Amino acid sequence: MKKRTKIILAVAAAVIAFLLLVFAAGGAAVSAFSLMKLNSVEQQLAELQTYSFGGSDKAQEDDVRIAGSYVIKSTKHISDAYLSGNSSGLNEKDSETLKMASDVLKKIIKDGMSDYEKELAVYEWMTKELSFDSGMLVVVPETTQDSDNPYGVLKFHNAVCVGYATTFRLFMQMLDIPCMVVHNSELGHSWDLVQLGEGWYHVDIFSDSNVTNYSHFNLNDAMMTQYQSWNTEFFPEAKELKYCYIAQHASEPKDIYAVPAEMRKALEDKAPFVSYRVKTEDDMSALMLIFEQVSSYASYTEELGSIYLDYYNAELDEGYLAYCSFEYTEEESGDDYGNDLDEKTVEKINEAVDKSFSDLTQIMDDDYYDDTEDFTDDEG
Amino acid sequence: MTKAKTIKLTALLLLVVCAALFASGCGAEKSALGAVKEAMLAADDTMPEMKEASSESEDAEKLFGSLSDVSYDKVKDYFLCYAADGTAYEIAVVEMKDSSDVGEMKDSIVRHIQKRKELYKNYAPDQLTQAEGSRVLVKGNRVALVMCAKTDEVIKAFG
Repeated sequence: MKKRTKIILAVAAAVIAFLLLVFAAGGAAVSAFSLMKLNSVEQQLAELQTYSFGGSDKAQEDDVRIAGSYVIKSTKHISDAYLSGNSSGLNEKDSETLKMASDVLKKIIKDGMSDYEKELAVYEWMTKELSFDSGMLVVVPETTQDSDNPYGVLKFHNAVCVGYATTFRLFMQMLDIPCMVVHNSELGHSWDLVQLGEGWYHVDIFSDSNVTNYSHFNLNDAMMTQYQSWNTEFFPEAKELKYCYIAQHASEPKDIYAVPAEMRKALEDKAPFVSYRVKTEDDMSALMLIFEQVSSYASYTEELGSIYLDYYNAELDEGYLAYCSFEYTEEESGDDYGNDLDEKTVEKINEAVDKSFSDLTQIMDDDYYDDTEDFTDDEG
Repeated sequence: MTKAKTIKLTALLLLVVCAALFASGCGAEKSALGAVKEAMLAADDTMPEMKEASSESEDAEKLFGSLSDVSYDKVKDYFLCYAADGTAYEIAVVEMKDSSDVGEMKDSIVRHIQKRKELYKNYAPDQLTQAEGSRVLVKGNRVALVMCAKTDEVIKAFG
């Protein structure tokens, strides 16, 4: 090959090598840049602790958009029509809503009922007859029509939180019981405040739907604060416990150490909850520990089935209220191992695991303690 | 071989190599979004039945609005795969026309994740942990959202 040809080929090879190097270096630079951007995004996600669907909470009851999709709308014109006996001003949809709501009240409200008994009847009907429309959880929502207002809720028996809240309010207003729809500070959830006697009470029908365990029925602010935050300047204060179902049925434990046995019986009887009033913070702490341990034992067993235990406490004027609600489900636990093994083998496996691990000390879940004020004993 | 022929052959060789390098870069970008989607979905075998929206959907722009409030005019291509039962499984990749809009797209996806977390916190607390494990990734003009059980595997499939 001639010398000049060799030089040309060598130059060509050098150019190709240079181009390959540029592409490789460019790729690395892009990767590094992407990594820097990724770190920036991670930091942003970490810093963004809370999210509000539409700004801060509103100092208003109606025309508030919840979860970005559902608007709380007044139905006072419907309840006014019911109370006045004149529904001529209602359009077709509202007339149908009035009829459906009236038919429910005719069925569940008896003469001589107090306001509290009427409210309880409505709560029990709604939690048993209506279902949560889980389509709202889908990224492209697939809720049934009108699941956020009484018309759709009463017609199709499917509701999102706004549907539960506005329907409950409609019933209360038809019964001439003052009631407001509350929304949380993040504009992600809504429930009701109802006035009985001189006091206001929180009622979250959605949270008790298909369960009817009264765990969200007529709570005071101290109890509701454990679940939600809201504009306490705008909405009335709820400090009474007179009509709180859980508080009404609370007992004073004669012996703290007898509570596990009482809970066992309650679970076997499919009771909705257990609740106790105690005088000291130590006794309240003891009860919460018992609830926690029972929860770890009893959540899924052959004898009792699948149970979700949820427990809270609230400070009273004198002492504390500690309660544990139960949700009995049909769900099975995740793993189904051992079903194809004979009983003797399963028993031997259980013995072997127990022998090797039963000496370990369970570590308490510290997250629970972080969420409760005045719970830990600062003196150790 | 004459000198002229040698020079021509060398120039042709250079041209072919450069063209091949150029084409491999561009071509890979254009056809890869569909391949990326398949790879990401396959990376997590725990995914439930998934629904899909993409730039090829009939209501592409409207469906895109469920993911982001960024103007659809700025989007070159996208896919959004989400659990049909509303559980915390969501895989999305959006390719922007202009790299200067990547930041805006990324911010909107972060807001979208927070909205999903708030929904789960209120209505399906059992999904919150998985939603909190969500990741947002940026690669070139592409922004990805990964919310699933096997996040690391799916991220690898995107990368």
